[in-house]
Amino acid sequence: MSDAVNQDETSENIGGGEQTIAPTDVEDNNVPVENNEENNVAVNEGNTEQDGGDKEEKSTTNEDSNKTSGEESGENIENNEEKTEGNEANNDEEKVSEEKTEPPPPQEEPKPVEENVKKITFSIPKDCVLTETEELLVAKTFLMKNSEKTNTNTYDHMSQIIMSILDSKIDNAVDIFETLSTQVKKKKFVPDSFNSFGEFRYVKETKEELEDAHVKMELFQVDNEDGHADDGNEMPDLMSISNLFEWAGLSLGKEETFLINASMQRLMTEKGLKSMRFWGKIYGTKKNYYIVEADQKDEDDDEEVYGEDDLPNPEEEEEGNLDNENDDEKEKEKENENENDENEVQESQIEEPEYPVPKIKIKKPNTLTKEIKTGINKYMYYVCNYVGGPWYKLADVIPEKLQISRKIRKYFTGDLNHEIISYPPFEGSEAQYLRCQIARISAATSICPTGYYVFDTEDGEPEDTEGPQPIIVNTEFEALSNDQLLDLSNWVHHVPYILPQGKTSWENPFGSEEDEENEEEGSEEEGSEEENEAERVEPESGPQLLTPISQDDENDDIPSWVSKYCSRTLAPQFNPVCISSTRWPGAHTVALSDKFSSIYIGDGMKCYGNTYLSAYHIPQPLTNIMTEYQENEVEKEITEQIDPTVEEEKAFEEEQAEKLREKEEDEEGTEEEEEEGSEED
Amino acid sequence: MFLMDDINYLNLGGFTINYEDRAGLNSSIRILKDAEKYENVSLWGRILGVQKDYFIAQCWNDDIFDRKYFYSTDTITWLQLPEITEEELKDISQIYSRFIGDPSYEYQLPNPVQNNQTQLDDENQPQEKEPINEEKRLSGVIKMINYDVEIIPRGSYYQDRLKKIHFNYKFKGLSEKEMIDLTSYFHFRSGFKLSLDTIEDRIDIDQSIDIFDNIEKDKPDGTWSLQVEHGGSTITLKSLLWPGYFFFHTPRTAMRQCKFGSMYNGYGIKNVNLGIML
Repeated sequence: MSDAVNQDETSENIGGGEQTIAPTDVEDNNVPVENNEENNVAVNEGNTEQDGGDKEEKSTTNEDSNKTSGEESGENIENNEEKTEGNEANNDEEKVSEEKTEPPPPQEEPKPVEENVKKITFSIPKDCVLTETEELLVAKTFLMKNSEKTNTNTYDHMSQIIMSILDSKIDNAVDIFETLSTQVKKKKFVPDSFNSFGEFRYVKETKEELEDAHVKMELFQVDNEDGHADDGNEMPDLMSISNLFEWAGLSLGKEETFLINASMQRLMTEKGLKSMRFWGKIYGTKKNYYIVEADQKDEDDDEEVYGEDDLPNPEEEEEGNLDNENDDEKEKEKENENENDENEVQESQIEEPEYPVPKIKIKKPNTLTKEIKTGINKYMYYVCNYVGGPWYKLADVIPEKLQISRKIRKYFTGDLNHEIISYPPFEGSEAQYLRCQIARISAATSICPTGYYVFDTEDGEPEDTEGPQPIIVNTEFEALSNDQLLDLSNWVHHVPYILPQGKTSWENPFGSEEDEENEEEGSEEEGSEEENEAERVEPESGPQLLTPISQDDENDDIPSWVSKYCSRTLAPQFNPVCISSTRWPGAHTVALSDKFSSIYIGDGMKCYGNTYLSAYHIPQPLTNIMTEYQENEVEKEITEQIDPTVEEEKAFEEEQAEKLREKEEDEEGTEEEEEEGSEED
Repeated sequence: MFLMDDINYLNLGGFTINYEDRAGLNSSIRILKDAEKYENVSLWGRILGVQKDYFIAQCWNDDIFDRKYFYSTDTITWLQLPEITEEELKDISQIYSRFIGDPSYEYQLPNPVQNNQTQLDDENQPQEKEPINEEKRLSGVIKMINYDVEIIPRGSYYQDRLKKIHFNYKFKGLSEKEMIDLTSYFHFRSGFKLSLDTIEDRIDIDQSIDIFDNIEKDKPDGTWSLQVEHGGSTITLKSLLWPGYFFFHTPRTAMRQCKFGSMYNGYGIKNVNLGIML
């Protein structure tokens, strides 16, 4: 725009200065296209002379026009003033001379110069006399002043126009001069340049697809750096196993399986895990979980894991770190981890108060101790929401939570922090629920061919002790033939059965005889409810480890396990065998001679039953609403009373305290301890 | 329905069809189409039985809503499924056990409370219902699934002036915004009447495309699990009402063709507990 203005102005000046001569001038400039300086100089001289002649006559009108042209002329004056100051002018001269040597061909100079020389001479007071070269420089500097908007200047523009005219050798270029000017300007328009007028900026692609691609690329990078260190890490060959699963109609996709494998390798090296396997995938309503089962680390490493700060989701790690009782509160107060820690400690201290508290009549079972690194918590589980995503470690199973998880039926959402709202109340996050379901599925559906594991005793036979026995991989294991694998009695459970209590080894919940829940899952514990003696709770027991799966209870009228060949046509020795659980739809084990592997792909829900009635999940009935106390004839002594006020209570307490003190004075020492002991109960 | 080329998309649902079955299906479906003289044929899905799985194929001519179903337990021989009556359908919806894998297996129907009432009304009525065999149940379950959950993306089918429904060969796929919106997925079933009573109804309506109910109104909320896969380029929709119904869609991009399709791969059991599970 400003360029256009400049142009207009120059033309105005031409008009104002020499109405008759101007057109010829232009012609002069255009016609001697290939002439050199001599001509131009001559023209220049002629012009200046004419100017000199016109000057006096038209000075008044020109002054007027200068005034109207306002700013421009003002700038002119400023420029001129600057130039008159000796050194600066010299500097400018140098600059200009430098530029002179550069591109703009000599022919082009005259025209702009002549125009502006006029202008300048008009605006300069008469007594200030400049030499011709000086005037030229002044004019040139002015013309080379960049426009604020487009960052170009008249001088360059004009020279470009003339260049283009010379290049194209158009006849009568003057007729299309405006068009030429526009064309030159259009060429200059670069949309990308910063602040260019009317620019279109190239918007960077911010698609999720791209992000996803970047995430996946990272998996490749890490692999290459590590050079596949073989420091005794055990991980099954997921790719070859996935071929087997594909035969059974199960697949996460070859590509995805590969990426999972890469991601697992990375997790392994990052966390320094000894061995792990891909456990399966649980579909949630919004996101899914990829689950990896890893061996617990040695004790030495333990602290490192929990203390690590660079873990993607500190909350989850923390969950594993802290005591289990207040997990849900923890979820809410995530912000200050350290403070949380302290809170936890305090709260757990409060649970055993030193002063007597009103006793709730319904006895709560003592919290069962969590199994650490054994039984149900033998393995750690890492989950992630998408392939290549961060792995979150799940906290250990809490027996009470597992009990409740058996009574509820909730879809997973895919958000580990999602609160489970259910009846009976689960009071925990989805992470805990997920961990419970994983434990249940593992316990129910982890199977291996018989003989693969043996009891860790001298003769390989189970001892007569309680709880699950340790088992080890049988070094002398001989692979079964495929026909044998088809027989369910050749498959055994290798993960301990979870008792109704929510643990694999039975623990006597002291003083909580009534609250042991009998589960539909075949609890052998009956009759203990009748005996109301705390120490006499009959221990729960389940099937031994390594019992054949053919001995599992039937799932209503269909067997709880189904085995079949994956192919109808392949020769038996190449035909994978698929064993599927009907109780946990989605749990499959595929075997081919010496290879076998279990996987779970499903929604994490148990199949409740096969009949019309059992298909419906019937939630535990609500407890009866407590009735208001009503006075009756039988218990006349018991009447309602108004609660004592604080003052009365204090007075009472003091009285009691005094009595105590008197007692103490009477009987010293041993008695005290007894009292305290009784209070603590 | 889906094309055999798109089997890889089924991986997102955690299942696949093994190579033996693929090979078998590719040939046998083609033969089925020829033998039964149908213009179109496609694989509908697989119903997992205890002993054997049923593959289901569908054939149709002009009217896509007039489809015939065939089943096969070995991907080679196909048998047509029987038509069922409304009453039978009602009975079938009361069966919640697993499919066995034997088409002649008979389900004894429960004789619930209803019988007592009929006894009072008319004692002479026979109380024993006729058992339903698995073949019929299969037919009924397919019918129910098709009605409840079969879906297509908006724009993939259009209706011409004569109210005939055609597949839209120019369908490019849904836009990024539409993809994650349940209103862009339609129940693929006949008998939808567009209501244009209010101006509000008419705002975004294209009468040639909006020819079905959208799934956003399905109850309970959350009965569809919509997930974005492959970093946003593909979406999957899983029905929680009929676990096993799997739908995928990926629009055309520089890297991919526009694809959509659905397959049922499940036990053929409706989730009656959905209400409390969400």
